[in-house]
Amino acid sequence: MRESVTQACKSIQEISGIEARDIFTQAARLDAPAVFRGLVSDWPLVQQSLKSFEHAQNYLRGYYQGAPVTAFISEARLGGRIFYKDDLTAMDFEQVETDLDWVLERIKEHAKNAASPRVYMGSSAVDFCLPGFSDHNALSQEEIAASVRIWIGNQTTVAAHFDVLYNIACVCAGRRRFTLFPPDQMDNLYVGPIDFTPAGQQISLVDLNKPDFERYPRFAKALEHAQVAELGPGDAIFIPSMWWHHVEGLENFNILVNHWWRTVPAHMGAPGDALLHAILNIRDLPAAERAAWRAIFNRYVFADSGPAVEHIPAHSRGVLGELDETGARKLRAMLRNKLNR
Amino acid sequence: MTNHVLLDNNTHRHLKINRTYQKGQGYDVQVTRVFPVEFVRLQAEYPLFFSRNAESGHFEAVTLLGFSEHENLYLGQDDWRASYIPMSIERQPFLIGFQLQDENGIPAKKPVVHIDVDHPSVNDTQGEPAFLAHGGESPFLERVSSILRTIHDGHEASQAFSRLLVGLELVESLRLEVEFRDGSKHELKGLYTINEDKLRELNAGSLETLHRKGYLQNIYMMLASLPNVARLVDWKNNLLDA
Repeated sequence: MRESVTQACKSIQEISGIEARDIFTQAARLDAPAVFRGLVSDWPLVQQSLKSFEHAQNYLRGYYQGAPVTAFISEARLGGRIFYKDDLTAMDFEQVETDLDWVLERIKEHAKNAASPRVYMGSSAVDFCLPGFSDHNALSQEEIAASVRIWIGNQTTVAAHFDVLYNIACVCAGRRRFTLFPPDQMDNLYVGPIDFTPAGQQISLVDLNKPDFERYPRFAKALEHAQVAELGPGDAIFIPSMWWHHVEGLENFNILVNHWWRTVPAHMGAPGDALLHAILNIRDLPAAERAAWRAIFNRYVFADSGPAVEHIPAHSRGVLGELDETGARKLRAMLRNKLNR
Repeated sequence: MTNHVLLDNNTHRHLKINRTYQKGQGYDVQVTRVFPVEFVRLQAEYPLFFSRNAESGHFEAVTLLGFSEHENLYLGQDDWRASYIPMSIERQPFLIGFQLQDENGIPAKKPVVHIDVDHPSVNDTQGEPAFLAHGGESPFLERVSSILRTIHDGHEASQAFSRLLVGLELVESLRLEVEFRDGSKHELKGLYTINEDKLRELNAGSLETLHRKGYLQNIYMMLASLPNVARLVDWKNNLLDA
């Protein structure tokens, strides 16, 4: 079933000949997703996982010093979909605060007995979870400082969602299938709530493996724009910021190490905060007011250039001028104050 | 009875705190925790001691407010009988709770504000509102939050202080017997103070360590605070006379 849905989809472009040490700069120049086969084949964890799951597990244990981790437990009957209950009143998985050994045991158990629950440990900071691991199993951070995370689980699926950050994700064990949709496909993905999500990001409510086209007819359109890739140990994928990505772990034991980074100044916060603020203060304005604000936003926020500030002397442009750390600090203090009412 | 819940600007939209420092208003405690950061303010008006936490076994700085369980002599007819109020009293009915949050891939226990909704000061009509008209934090709540943060940070500093003093054998059990005007006597148990003999015998190295950490000042403030027990005895005598 899964094959029939995404089989017809375009494959993500594969790029070869890029050295791992240049990858961040090279990737940020691309405005589309890309797969780099074998980019990190030389990582010790990849080498160990090619020998056996036990080797990979033991390798991880060698770095583990007992840091707490958060894991999702999903009953086998759900097929590994990390999702809501049918009516979206609650999550259909259990979140547990545990340790890595417990996660690895559950994975071993499920491999022996398919009726036991599936497990998903996502987005754990490697320097916290596995101190020293990133010295040998992460892309060189000479050019940029990325946040390196590890994802461990079995056959679990996270529905399409976007991240604000650029992402290079490297499969270290097992196999993973990525199905990507461009940002403009949002309307065809039937995106769920913003403030009630499985793991912090809003997700597509469509089950990619069994899409209900009667309920979600426009999803067929999204599939026309989807790009798919299946990655094995040592392969890496670049997911541009804001691209929707649906990620499936395919084996009994899958490990992913990813690198998240931004290319904008550190004083810039999460764009999603501005969206929430706009929902609070703009969305419910009378139509005429909203239209006026749309024009103002277009002028001050979305226009690449234009006549908005040219008539104001540069020294008097304030927040309308170029924003530096000092300006950002003033703006933050002002906003924080105004928000508290 | 206490009923601690997470403070929320919808659930507690109309919540007000009506502080009355009188008997039966939720402040009837004989002993309350204090923190080294407030010693300077406390030592002029309160006697400072250590007491052993029954659960953790750690020594904690405390002040004595009365001579029997639930007796708080600092509660006057209509106000608190000191210019400074210990943070562990002033924070009430709010307290620190913890919420597990993901912080850049690290599960972190973040301190959040909880409230004891059964505290007598909690109501919907009188006193200081917790929230502004549209859910923002009131100046009152901001002040309490800042006290809670200071207490949260103070826990660690307080433990480091008492741990080092215990290590240097500077903490000794205190037998304090007080006699009231009616001739009755009361022995205070479970309190610890600074062992002055050991303090005098400290070598230069230990003294320097204590001094560098600011602990020497704390030690002398604890010692200097002891005469404040007389304030409590006076208040108790006045009660007995009445």
